[in-house]
Amino acid sequence: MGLSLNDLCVRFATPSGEVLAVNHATVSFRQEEATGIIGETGSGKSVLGLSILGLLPAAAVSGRIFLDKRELTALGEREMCQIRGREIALVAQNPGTSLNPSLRAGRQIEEVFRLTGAGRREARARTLALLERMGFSRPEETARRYPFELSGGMRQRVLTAIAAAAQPRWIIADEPTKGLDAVVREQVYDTLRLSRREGRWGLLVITHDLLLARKLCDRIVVMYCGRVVETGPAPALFAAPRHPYTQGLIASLPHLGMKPMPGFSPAFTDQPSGCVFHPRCPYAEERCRREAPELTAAGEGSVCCHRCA
Amino acid sequence: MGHILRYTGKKLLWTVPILLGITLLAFGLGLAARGDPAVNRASVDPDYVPTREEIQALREALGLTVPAPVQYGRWMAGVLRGDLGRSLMDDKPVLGEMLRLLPNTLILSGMALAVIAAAGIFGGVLLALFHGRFVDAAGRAVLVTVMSVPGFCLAYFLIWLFAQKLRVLPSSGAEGPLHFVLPCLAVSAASACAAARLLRASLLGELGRNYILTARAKGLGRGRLLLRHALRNALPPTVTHIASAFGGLLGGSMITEQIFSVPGIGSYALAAIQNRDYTALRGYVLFTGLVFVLVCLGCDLLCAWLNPQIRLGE
Repeated sequence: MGLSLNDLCVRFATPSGEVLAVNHATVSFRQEEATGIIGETGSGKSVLGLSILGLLPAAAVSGRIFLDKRELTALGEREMCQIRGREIALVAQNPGTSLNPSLRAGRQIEEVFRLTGAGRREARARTLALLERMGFSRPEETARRYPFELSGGMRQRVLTAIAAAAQPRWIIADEPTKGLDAVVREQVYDTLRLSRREGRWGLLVITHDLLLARKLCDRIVVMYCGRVVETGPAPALFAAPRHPYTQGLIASLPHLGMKPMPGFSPAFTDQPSGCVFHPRCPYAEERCRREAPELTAAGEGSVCCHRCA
Repeated sequence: MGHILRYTGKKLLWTVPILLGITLLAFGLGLAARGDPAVNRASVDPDYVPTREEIQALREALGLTVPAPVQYGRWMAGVLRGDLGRSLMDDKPVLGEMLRLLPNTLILSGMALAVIAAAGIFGGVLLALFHGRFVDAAGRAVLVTVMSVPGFCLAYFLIWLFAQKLRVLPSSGAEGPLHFVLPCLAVSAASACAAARLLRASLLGELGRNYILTARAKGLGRGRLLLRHALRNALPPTVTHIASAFGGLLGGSMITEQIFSVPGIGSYALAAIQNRDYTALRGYVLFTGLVFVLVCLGCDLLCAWLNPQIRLGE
């Protein structure tokens, strides 16, 4: 039971050719865990999140996505509207622009309750109660505010309230700390923690913020160039990363010496042969240049590297 | 609340220099134009050739011989008391004549404004709703076609179709509401199409914004997405466009009223131009200027209401 992706591919046509933003990803998430999807900017992790919600053009997505036994990729737009918000909700990235600038914060939360069939008064009351649980001391006042009258941290909490409103079974938080300063980042962390207490939903945190992932998540999925390169329980993965890319990411953390990884992610239109990481890999061998490794089970997770197979 | 009052007050204050500029322009028009109103008035009877002395006497009687600044001062003193002077041709008060003819023009432009706003918004939302499908492509082709036909051609086409072939609508006069249908369509069609295209483009632009992703992730369908979320943010450019189209309506009423024989202030102004009746013309320019300024003010306030960031002063 849970959310599982089976051979998921997301293709985009660009002027310089077709791009495989998610490349044959097969991975499943358990509802009782918080899973962190980590990787550099452009590793395809946000696209992966949006494809689960069916928010990408249908033609771009191939492969299958299952919510428990239901295949989401087989549903039409109308049925997906029933899934979105109620079963899988999104905390969009960039709180500065992800709220409608000309609607009051309260209205934007109420709307979710209204969609689930609540009357105007009930939606109002539940919005105020939810705002209070999200740590707003004066919910009436917050509900009356427009997004530009709220601070970044408050907007993030309003966005999280929108996602939590319908008590979904999954919440996907897309880059919840991107572009925020340290104080607000800390608030976001608390908010997501709070949201975990609020409901029993599975949490999918898409982030490049390794510290957030380590603090918040039980399980980690590492992505590189649209591929899943390593999965595993968070403590084990941070203590003993197996994929050279994960090792590099963790070594680049500030308190672990801040050693930057050599090289850059290759462009999506010009990917290396064999293992996509080999140009940057300190252990690359002849085989890595020729043959792409498969994601294979290893210990409590899986890893996509010839050395570990 | 205090902010919106300050905002309105500031906008109102700004209309003062604009209106002053309009009076200067309106007055200057008569000075810059060639020809002599006294000659026109003296030659009303085609069989009689006025003498030079008679024309000079008439000029003095009409007050055309005093220096221009004094003329302007006298005219402005009248304007401030609500007196736009008397026609140089027939001595009838300009304001009274315009007020008599005003209802027809107001009905015509008011109806046209309503048609532009309603059809523009409905069309824009419809095209955005069906974006990328047949309705959108066909609709856009129709809009461009209508926009590229000059207004008077459209007017004659409408007369031909509805008054001559189908015989369902009257082609001229202003006796009943039906008489206004054709002139209203003729003046509003192009602006309504432009408004629809503009709104469609801004709606599609809004659909690419981040807050739309949040709204879609709530499970909203495309219709609600457009009407509840995108429309309000997409409207300001279209509202501004409609307001400036209203200015065009006032000026264009001159031609439309002529084609459809509607007695309105457009026809009055046209007669004033032909007779070199500068006092009447000044009155017309001042009046339409004032109406346009008020419409623009209304438009600014509407945009402020649509956008809380302006309304609340951030």
